[in-house]
Amino acid sequence: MRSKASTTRDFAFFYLNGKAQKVFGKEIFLNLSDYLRIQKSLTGTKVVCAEGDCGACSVLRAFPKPGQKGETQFEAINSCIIRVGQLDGSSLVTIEGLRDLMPNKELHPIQKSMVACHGSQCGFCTPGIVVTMAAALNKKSITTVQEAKNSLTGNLCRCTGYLPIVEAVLQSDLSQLKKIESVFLTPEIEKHIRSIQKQSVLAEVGDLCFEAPADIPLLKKLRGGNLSGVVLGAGTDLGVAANKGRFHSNHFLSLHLIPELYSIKKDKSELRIGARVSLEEFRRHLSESSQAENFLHVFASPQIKNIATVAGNVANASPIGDTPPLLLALDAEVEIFSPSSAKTKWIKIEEFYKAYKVTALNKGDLIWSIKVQIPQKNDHVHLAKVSQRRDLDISCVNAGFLLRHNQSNGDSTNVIMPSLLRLALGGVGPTPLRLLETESFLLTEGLSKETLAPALDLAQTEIKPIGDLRGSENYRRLVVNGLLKKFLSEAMELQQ
Amino acid sequence: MTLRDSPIHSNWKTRPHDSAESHVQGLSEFIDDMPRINGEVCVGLVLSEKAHAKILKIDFDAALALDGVLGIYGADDFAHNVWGTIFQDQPLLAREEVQFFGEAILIIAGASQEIVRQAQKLVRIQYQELPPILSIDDARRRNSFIGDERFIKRGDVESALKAAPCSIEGSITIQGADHFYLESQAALVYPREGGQLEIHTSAQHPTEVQHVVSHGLGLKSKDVVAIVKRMGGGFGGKESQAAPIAAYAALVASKLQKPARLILTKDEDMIHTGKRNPYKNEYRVGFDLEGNILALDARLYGDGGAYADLSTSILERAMLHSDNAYYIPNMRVIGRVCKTNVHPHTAFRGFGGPKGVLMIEKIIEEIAHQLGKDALEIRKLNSYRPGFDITHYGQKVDNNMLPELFEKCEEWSDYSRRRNDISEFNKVSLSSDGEIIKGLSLTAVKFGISFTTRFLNQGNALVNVYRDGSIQVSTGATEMGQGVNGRIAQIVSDELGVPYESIRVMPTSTEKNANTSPTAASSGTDINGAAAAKACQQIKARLSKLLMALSKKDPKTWAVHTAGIGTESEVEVQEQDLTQDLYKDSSYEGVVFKDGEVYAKNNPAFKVSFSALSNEAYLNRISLCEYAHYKIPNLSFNKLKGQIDDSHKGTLGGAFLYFTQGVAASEVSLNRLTGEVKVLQSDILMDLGRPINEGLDLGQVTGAFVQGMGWMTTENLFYSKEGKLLSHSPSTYKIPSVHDIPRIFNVKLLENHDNRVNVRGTKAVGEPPLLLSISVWTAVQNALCSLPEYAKNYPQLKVPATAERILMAMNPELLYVEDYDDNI
Repeated sequence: MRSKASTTRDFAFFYLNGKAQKVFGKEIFLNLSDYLRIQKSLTGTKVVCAEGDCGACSVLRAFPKPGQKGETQFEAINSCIIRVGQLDGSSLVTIEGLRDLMPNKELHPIQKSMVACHGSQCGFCTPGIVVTMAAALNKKSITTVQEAKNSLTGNLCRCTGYLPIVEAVLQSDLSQLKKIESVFLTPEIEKHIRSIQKQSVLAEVGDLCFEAPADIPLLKKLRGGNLSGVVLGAGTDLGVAANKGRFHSNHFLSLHLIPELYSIKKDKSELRIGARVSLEEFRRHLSESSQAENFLHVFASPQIKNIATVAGNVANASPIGDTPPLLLALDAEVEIFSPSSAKTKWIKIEEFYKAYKVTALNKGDLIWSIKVQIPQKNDHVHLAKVSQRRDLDISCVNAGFLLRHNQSNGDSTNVIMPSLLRLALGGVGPTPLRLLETESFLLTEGLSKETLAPALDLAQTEIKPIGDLRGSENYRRLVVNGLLKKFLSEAMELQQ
Repeated sequence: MTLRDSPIHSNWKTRPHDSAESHVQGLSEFIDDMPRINGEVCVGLVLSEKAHAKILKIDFDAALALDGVLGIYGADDFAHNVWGTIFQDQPLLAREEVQFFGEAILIIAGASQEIVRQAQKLVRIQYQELPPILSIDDARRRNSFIGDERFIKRGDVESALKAAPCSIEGSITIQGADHFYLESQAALVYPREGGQLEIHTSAQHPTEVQHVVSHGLGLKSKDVVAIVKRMGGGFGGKESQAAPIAAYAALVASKLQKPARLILTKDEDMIHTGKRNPYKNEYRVGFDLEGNILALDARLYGDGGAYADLSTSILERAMLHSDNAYYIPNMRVIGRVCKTNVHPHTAFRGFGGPKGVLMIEKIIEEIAHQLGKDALEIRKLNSYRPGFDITHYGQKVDNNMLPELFEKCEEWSDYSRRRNDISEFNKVSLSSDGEIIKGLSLTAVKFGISFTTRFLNQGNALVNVYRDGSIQVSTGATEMGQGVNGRIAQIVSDELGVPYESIRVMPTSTEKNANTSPTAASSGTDINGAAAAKACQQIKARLSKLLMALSKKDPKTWAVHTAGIGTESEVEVQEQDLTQDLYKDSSYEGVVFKDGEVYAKNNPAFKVSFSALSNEAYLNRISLCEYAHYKIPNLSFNKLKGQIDDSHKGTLGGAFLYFTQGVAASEVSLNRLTGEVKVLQSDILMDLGRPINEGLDLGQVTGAFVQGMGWMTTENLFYSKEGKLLSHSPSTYKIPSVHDIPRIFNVKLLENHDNRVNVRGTKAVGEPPLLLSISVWTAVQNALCSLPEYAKNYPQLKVPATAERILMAMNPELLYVEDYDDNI
């Protein structure tokens, strides 16, 4: 099928505070925060870090997924590291739009309680916090301190010590509040958005080019044509690199309009997600059937998790990326689309990482989907992230461990013979890695009080951490030792 | 006790911050939110990429040729390329030599942010590197200092040390910290006719901005107006260092005669601006077997960075706080500021205070450890108390609440039970190879309120009452979130008996309030609120006299009915000198100002509304506006002698007008696998006198405490071996997030109506609670003490106690070198 000229447009399209916007030309390439603050004079949205780490720039976004049915919810995202083009097909609400959610344009409940509880001092983080909490409270009321804190992990405040903000969240009276979707993603708006999502985007201005094919044939055609565009997942990493002057490209390819890439397939043993599935959706589906949830809570902020994709995290190939140890432990495979063959092939995640920031992707290749083996009921799984600060921090060391007990092992001995063992680590070498020798030693010799120490020593020979500002070499070695010791010891205790 | 059950919460519901409603709607205007007007110029800086080097050549031809670049300026473009708050030692732009990584060398003016960024990359600077000094030790070895050595002495330290039954010799290493105000340094300058400049700045000290800009550009103060509407956080970082930022934008505005805006990115801000001064303190302490401290000999070395900035004043405060809450009969503190090749360090909430207090609180824990006693016992033993209440610099600790604070917090926090539980928990944990150990510590603060530089302890206020009875108040205080505007409005509201809503505190501007002091040293409300109260008293005295005159006149003859035709003679009001007691509202001629009405106490039936009286005053040509000046009384500290004047000994005041005091008990858990710290509980008890707005004060307490906790635990400034700051954004510099705050977090205030020396009997709150976060650091150390490795030796963690340092301290057998490469 050849793409039809009539289904291509040269603008990005979204709703902003309930009004349809067509954005042409250079504005497509602006950061959303600059577009809002400068082009639209919506200065309530603040920029502090320009790297998605503080939440001051938070805005609300609902994105009806192309080709996917079901309810679309508003989520908080960071506007400082996302380009206007990437918001194509969305409905956006900024702090300025919240007034439409209450009768008579009263303050939103979180605004009222923030005022009453002294939740705002200097006011610079405040709009971001209000917007983030408006999204959280739109989903459900928050009644515990823990829930309130969890919803605030993506926002930094330097004035209040957070206590008054937590109190404000708990004291919000939601009785008169309208659902955000009922105002900003009405059936009419959604219908309008979906109709435009069917059209591909090709916007060129000077040497800048933004393209977003709306179907696979067009995508294949583009990639086969060997175009040089940088593929944007959520762009949460590239957006930072661009803001900090470490990255520049004039040509972007966004896959956000391709319905197939949003698919999620799950059976008893396997979860398969398309390249556009977000960390948050992955977390939700995985947590329904495994212990992965706890780990994924400390994995990026809500604002990043809502938008960043698993495929993007994998392709980024950072040795301290949050998902790879988990994916390694869950025996993930990556489906790669090669434009040269116009076909896809599956590759084991271990084979995906070649060297520091080098992957099995050839020029022009795309990650199509990722599948993981869902842990079984009796699997002993441990996921850990150690960083300078517990939340909203890049790992110093992270780990994904899985041990499957051999059911036929009986109870006659103090030696556990695992039937499956995967010990994966990030932050201890140029790529995320598995401790293959340690695994093999324990699979052969069994896990016991006697083999524990040699296994821990062996693990130390398999890692090659460097020292940097997230942790010294010795620190990383100690942490690996501690995490592994804990995991194996607990596995032994559980067996007994 | 959970958060919600906490008894404090009813008290939080006091009047909100004066900008709260606009803050929550995103309607509050910060510098970068001000509308962009046609022709406005975007300003950027070119920063040094060497810590110490000669500048051989600056080549910006390619940058200047870039389309949209409107100008590039260097050191020679300033009339006077020098500034400095205490010493005039810092160039606005480096000319021949750079002294720190991130020092400004050039200013670029461009049509857009994007163009400025491109131009920055095209500038080529050739350096000849010089050996940098990057640590306090290095500076001491090379005799690199700023200012003279300072001392404070009492008693015979050497003899007392010799005679003491026990002694400890040690040191403490304290790293700096970034302010991490969310709004980076910012200025927007409008050129006005006749060479004037109107500067909108995010600064705690608009008068300093006015000085630095006018001096730098060769103007007079009269030519420059500096205006501060608000700051998105300051914390001391915008006390001195906002001024050169404004000067850079002002130079462009002046050269191009166009509005010029300079907003630093977070990364630029963190690389360029100074931090909290790192300190390395050495000490010898003598004590007896009970734990009474007999003598302390301390040497304080502060890292001032490349230029003086405020570091010598910061050192003074550190020396004045090396006693903290404890009476030390024989004491000698010697201090020196080191000159190094890092950003010039500057004020940060607490100023020097925490650097002295950390040392003495560590010493107390060390003494307790050596004697096998609980540290709280040692604290109570040595606490300032009746008969033992003269500081090492000779000031009497008046209105001293420390004994009561210790006692109440011990009881309230259930200290002794928890101490036993923790001991038991640690025993079990250690014997079973458990993952967690815990620690508990209760520390104190006694923070001196007043600038140590005497002349800064003055302020002025302008109160304008309009004919409708509404009021504008302008002072030198700047609003950075702390709520000073709301407190001042409250003082005015109480004094004039009018609704809070009828008062507006105006943006701080040097054309309304001249020669002001920085909003710093926790003094914003004390100084400016007192000045505003004084101004109100003058207005009130006149209106009282007017009311009494009116009470004798037939209302039909009042000016409101007759002034237009001029049939009646005017009421004359004589000015008088007032002797004001600022502790309580004033009253003149027996007249009461209450609920928007004015009446004589002995004739309450005759009431006139405040607005009607205001109008009547205008029509009778009686001034409704007043300017007042206030200075803090009773200050007499001789910096060279290190003592207050003899004439002041035993009386009120001295180095400080009064002390704000408090205590906090913090419990932490340490993870033995990862070194991670969790703060399980903090109970804070403070004496804030009689708060003007308790909710605002409590917000200062929780905010300062958590900010301090970050410094004590996760906020780690990493510098490369070349002196480049590597952790210059929140992805690498970790201020506390919501999950880092104490799991159980309680704050209570003591009731104290006796601080009569200060306006309304209040006590300053901005900085003191930050020093209570030291309890978190000492609690970490206390947890480590439970390990067999530290049965004898007290652990020697640096500040901050990061997870890494803690884990390495748990494994002392491993060689541990803190060494980092630039590979992020």
